[in-house]
Amino acid sequence: MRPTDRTYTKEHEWVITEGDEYTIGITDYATEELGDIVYLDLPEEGSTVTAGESMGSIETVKAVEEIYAPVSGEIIEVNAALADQPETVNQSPYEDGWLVKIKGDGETVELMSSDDYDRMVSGS
Amino acid sequence: MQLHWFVDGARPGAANMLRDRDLLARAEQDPRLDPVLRLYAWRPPAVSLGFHQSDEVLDPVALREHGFDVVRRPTGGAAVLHHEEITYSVSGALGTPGLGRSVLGIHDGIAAALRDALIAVGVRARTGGDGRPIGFACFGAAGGHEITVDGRKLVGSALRRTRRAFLQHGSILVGEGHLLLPRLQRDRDVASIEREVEELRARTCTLRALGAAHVEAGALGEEFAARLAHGLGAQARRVEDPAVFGIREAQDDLRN
Repeated sequence: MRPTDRTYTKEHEWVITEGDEYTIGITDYATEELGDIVYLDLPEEGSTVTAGESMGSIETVKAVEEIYAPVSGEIIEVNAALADQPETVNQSPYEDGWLVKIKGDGETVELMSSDDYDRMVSGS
Repeated sequence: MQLHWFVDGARPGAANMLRDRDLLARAEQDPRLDPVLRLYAWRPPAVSLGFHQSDEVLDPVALREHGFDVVRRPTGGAAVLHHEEITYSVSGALGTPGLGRSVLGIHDGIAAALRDALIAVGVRARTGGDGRPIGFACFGAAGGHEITVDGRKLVGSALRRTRRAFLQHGSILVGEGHLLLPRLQRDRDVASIEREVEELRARTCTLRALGAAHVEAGALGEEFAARLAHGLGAQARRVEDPAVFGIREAQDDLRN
């Protein structure tokens, strides 16, 4: 059962929306599929990101891939603890393993409910 | 669907990685295009760093003395010294039949084809190491999706996935050139270097040690392409002029 207090993207990210602030992470489906995360390249605080475009990358023991920004805006906080302990994303993808917080400008990619996300991944 | 494949000769590191980036970009731009298998070598020999690896570990003096190049791969994983080995890349669209979209599906589908190709040329290869790849050297441990002989790593591999495409790299050891990698690292005492060389030697095997050093990229590529194409439900088609894929020679220094 995935948390219902947030929305999800088809790029396997979750988004908690609080006013114009968005907290971003990746889902358990993504972490299980990627395997053990060994490095995260996240955007710097103060930088701007664009919905649907790459904002960093994630490396596991098996692969590198992009992290896509689900919303446009300014990075207002980065989870600094992940620099030393990227495995936190595997261990706690929905809580301690959050990636960044963005002050959004209103533009987002398509966001879906947890039920819709569950359906998407069970059908893939 | 066809699997296009070609033997691309030897190039410097920057040129090799530019060509693979171009192949990845080609698949990303138009996922309807057929997948491509490229086999190639490195002249001069080069250390390729995983996408996120720092080059600070490397000793520029030692690299210069050996005449070795350094380049960063777009794929993940750890460092490889491309010296006495055959490198390949496979690029294509996510969702390619037989490979799918998942990290493991892509790794496993390609590894199975290469394993069977190696068996066809007389190497008793199997897939599935029992180590977790850690540390600076790719060949320090074999992951579950990699190719080994008697538990010793023969092929190292790494992957990049983009939104719509993938690029997988592999390095097939022919000789013991990879054992020079610990000697290219800075601030190492002689004893720790020798220890790592012996660990690498114990954990790896080579086509030469297996009596298969005569296997050339073209012959292995033929077997590899046939088996990979079979797995994809495609026809293997050798391409003589890879310019048809729109790939370039190196124009920029891609070290960083």
